[in-house]
Amino acid sequence: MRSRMKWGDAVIIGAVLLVAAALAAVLAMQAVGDRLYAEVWKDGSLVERVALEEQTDRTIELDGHNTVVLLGKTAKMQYADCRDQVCVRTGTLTRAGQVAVCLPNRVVLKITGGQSDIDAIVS
Amino acid sequence: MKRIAALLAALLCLSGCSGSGNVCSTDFFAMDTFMSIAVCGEGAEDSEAAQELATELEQRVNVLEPALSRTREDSDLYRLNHAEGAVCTVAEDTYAAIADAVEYAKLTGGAFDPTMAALTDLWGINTEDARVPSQNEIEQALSGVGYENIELLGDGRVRLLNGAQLDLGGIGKGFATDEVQAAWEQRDRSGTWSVLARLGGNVGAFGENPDRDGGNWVVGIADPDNSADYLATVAVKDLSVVTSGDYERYFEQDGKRYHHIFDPATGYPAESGLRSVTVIDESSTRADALTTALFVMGLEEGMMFCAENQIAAVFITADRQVYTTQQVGELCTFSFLGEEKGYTYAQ
Repeated sequence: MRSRMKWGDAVIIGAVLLVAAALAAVLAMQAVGDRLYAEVWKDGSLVERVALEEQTDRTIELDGHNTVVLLGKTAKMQYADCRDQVCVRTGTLTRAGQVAVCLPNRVVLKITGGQSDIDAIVS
Repeated sequence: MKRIAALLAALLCLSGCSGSGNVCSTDFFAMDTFMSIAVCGEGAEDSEAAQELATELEQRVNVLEPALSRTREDSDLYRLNHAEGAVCTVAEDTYAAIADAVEYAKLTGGAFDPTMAALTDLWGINTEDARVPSQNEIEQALSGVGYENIELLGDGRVRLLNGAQLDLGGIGKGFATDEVQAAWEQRDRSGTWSVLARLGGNVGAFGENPDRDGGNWVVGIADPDNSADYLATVAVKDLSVVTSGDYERYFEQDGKRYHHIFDPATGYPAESGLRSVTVIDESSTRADALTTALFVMGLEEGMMFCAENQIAAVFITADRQVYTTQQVGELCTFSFLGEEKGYTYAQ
């Protein structure tokens, strides 16, 4: 009787391990692969954090001063009313670690999450 | 069954703990730019010690800001620029930065010059007053340009001659990067943490990268046509990487682009056929000054200068060629990735 219980336990534990391993694999693939987030910061505070998926299609307005467009797995500072336009000229962000900064308006758009081939960009 | 349920819960939790957790970073605005300092190492994300170090390094940069600013009316440089030739005593950091600027101005024969403040103000790039000045205005602004007009008298005393006006913007972020490195070395003697400092586009990578084989840091060199993307990478450790280019700070008038890297000899934005220059160096201050100087020199003179002075530099030209100096291969691992974007690696 005792040995039958142990055998049953082992089967369940084995099943649990398999499920956990499968879950771990799925989560790891998501973490390593495509799971990217666009973060919009204003004056040092996080305004929005949006997961970037194939179907993402969002426009974030910041009091009429900046417009961020999230399209698919990309993010872009579409508009800024500042004088220098450096953030707009930065172009489309597609990889973790990329940043577009509107210095006059203290707005930062950056991509986080996933893994990137690079640690930083010099420009 | 309870034991099994507990085991299940533990395993599910384990499965959900993704991410390296090896980074603790602080983002902030300083020196008229955006900065990010990441302290990296095993468990940095949840480490109070890593957080403390990141805060300390940020504070070091914040302390430097007034020491290197020329626009703050309470700064040493503002006082010096308005002293009309009188001797001023400045703070230790300010004096050290001025001394560095003079050293690199001498090294580059004035291609980098820290006395361009009047000219920078005249052009007003990145301000609402940006315009092409008249030749008379440019000549007047150039009359005070020349690093020879800086007299370093020791004990923190400095004098500016012939109406020279100091601007340390050309080396400020590099100087700050070097100070971040020094503060990290002093503070973290045990070598527990490494640091990736991104100070307004200047990058300093110090210590081992815990998330890459070999411990190197991979730094992308921006595509001048889309600076969020990159044309090449360098894998570095305990080095700074700095770029100067014509593509972020500029204005256009009558279809012509006027960027912010001025040629001290003409008073106009340097027209050297380059889009950007990147320097990889142990000293970020030196790299900062050299990127400006090499951009002004142009490809041919710049390559010769690098060969003579053993400088690791990457040149991107307006006709979409990428050149590297011999020292690049000796100092880091360079990878060219610009072919699809229409660039050629000329080697």
